[in-house]
Amino acid sequence: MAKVKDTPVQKPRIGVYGFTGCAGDQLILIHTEDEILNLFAAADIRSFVMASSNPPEGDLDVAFVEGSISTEEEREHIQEIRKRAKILVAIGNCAVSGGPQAMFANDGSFAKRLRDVYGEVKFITDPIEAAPIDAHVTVDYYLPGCPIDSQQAFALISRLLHGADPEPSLHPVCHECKLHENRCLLLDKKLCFGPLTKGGCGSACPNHGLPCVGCWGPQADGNFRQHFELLQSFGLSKEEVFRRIKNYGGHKILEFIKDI
Amino acid sequence: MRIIKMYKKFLEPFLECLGQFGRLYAPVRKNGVLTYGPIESISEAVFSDEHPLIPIKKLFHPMKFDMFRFGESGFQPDYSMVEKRVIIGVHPCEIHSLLRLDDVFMADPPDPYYSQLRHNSAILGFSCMPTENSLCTSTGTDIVEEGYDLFFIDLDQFYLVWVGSSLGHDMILCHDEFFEDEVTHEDIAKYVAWREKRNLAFKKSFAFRNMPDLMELSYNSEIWEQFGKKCLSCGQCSMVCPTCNCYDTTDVLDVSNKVSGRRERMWDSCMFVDYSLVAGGHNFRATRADRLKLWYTHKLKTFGKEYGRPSCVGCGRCVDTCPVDINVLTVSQALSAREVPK
Ligand code: SF4
Ligand code: SF4
Ligand code: SF4
Ligand code: SF4
Repeated sequence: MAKVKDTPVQKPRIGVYGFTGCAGDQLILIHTEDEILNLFAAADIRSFVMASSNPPEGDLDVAFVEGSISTEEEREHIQEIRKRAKILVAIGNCAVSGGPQAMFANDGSFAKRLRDVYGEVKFITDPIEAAPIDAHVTVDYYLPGCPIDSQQAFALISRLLHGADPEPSLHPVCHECKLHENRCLLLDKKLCFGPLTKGGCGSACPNHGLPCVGCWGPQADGNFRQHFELLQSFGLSKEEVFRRIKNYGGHKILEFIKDI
Repeated sequence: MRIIKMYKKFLEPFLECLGQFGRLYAPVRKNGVLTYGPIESISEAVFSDEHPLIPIKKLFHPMKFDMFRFGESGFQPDYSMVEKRVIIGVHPCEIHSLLRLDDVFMADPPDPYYSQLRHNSAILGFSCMPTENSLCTSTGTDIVEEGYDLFFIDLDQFYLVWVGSSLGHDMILCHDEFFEDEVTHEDIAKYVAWREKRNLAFKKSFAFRNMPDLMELSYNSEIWEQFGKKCLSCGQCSMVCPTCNCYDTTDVLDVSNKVSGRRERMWDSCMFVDYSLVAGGHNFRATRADRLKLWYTHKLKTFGKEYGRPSCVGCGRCVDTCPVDINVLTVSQALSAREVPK
């Protein structure tokens, strides 16, 4: 049985914050109606941008942070949150990997891309290249997904409420894909990133005959070199495979593909 | 053993009648994939040579379920998935796989979930012709002698029906008039011809009996490294193998300040990196080569040492499934020829 500490006398103080992203992860939390009510009963929700305006800011036991950091102002704000929070959890692909806005991460073209899109304007706050939360502060736990999965999210939240360590998710999408009894798309020479991608989504895409595009981010044990070779044997170019996996791989994919 | 004869036209009404012995289960087609599931009427059942993608183990060793709920004052086991069932259309290799799983789950102390599911299920076997990758003649699992209540052998106009248990006998009584006790000389000739035709229909085989020795000799072979380079660690091989039986348990706590929650049990695979990860961060099988070696040594050698027979039942699913062609055929070929096929 999970090791749990004695029932806390004080309810844990929780804050939920959103940076650059679609706010879809906060929406998943709010839309899980039974659990969100339980959460409001079990925790002292100090700040939840989406659920209330004007939150009081103070020390926190846990901060959940959604979105990538893409302006100077956001960078200062995340550093300030980190100082106040005992535990910081990055939620959703943008916070974990940088999100689709980081698909060109570190390729040296940021200044040019910014100019191409916005022209020569003066910004209220200086834009910086979109990066995951852990590019700026230390992150204690990650909850990947685009958007996050409510079951996986509340399993982690309830662990934290009890002072227990969350279960890490170390299996590829293929695990859940087989439990859903899907025929493997690779056998039909379709580009599926399932073996390279963290599980937790319940194999949402293959369940509908669609290949996994990797939105849960890279699975650290993935056999990247062999899988790319296999995909190339289907007639895809290496560039095409790289381009596609970077869509959601953001900053996190770079270390896995740097030697390939 | 009683062997009786039934004309084909009686099959549907006979099976339909078995609903009184429990909920009917059979292979059905769902999104193009063959899968075992409950049926409302016999017309939904798919009787074919093809194996369901996920083997029959899922009906006895469920993929994912809650073992119990726990709270501050104790725990409450959950056996809600147990019901009387009649499982129809089970091929010989599947019946053999259940006998192998019995070795694991029914040994003292028995797994309460598995044994209750097993004790409440009738098995109605059906003969099949080999598919592209069937290997059951190699593994000696192409015919069954035990492990079924009734077994139907399809001889075109009629079935020869083996009655394998007293429950099977009671089932026959459901429509006694459908069955003939007299099996003629001609019927026997038909059966013999069917056996011969079937034996000749196998396209593939492997040196199953040599495997334990070859495994022993190849423990340090570089072949494992080469397979390890190819393996995607997707775990599909163990999910589809009818005798893989590992699972993981996780405590899912309630979103509350009380200590309460449920213990979830879910299929696991030794092909995943955290399978051999222990406290302190040490991993006994961090490399893919070591994981593959474990899988094959366990399947083709060690299981046999422990339970008297290796656990591969020759269903061919690993051959059908692995995206990079690592399976009992390629592994046994590599070990025999000392070369990994391209
Ligand atoms: S379809 Fe994709 S996710 Fe499913 S098993 Fe195949 S590679 Fe893995
Ligand atoms: S299958 Fe892949 S792309 Fe689809 S939701 Fe899951 S991780 Fe994302
Ligand atoms: S042997 Fe094949 S099916 Fe098994 S984990 Fe490796 S790649 Fe997947
Ligand atoms: S090892 Fe392969 S052929 Fe043997 S029982 Fe498992 S899946 Fe079937």
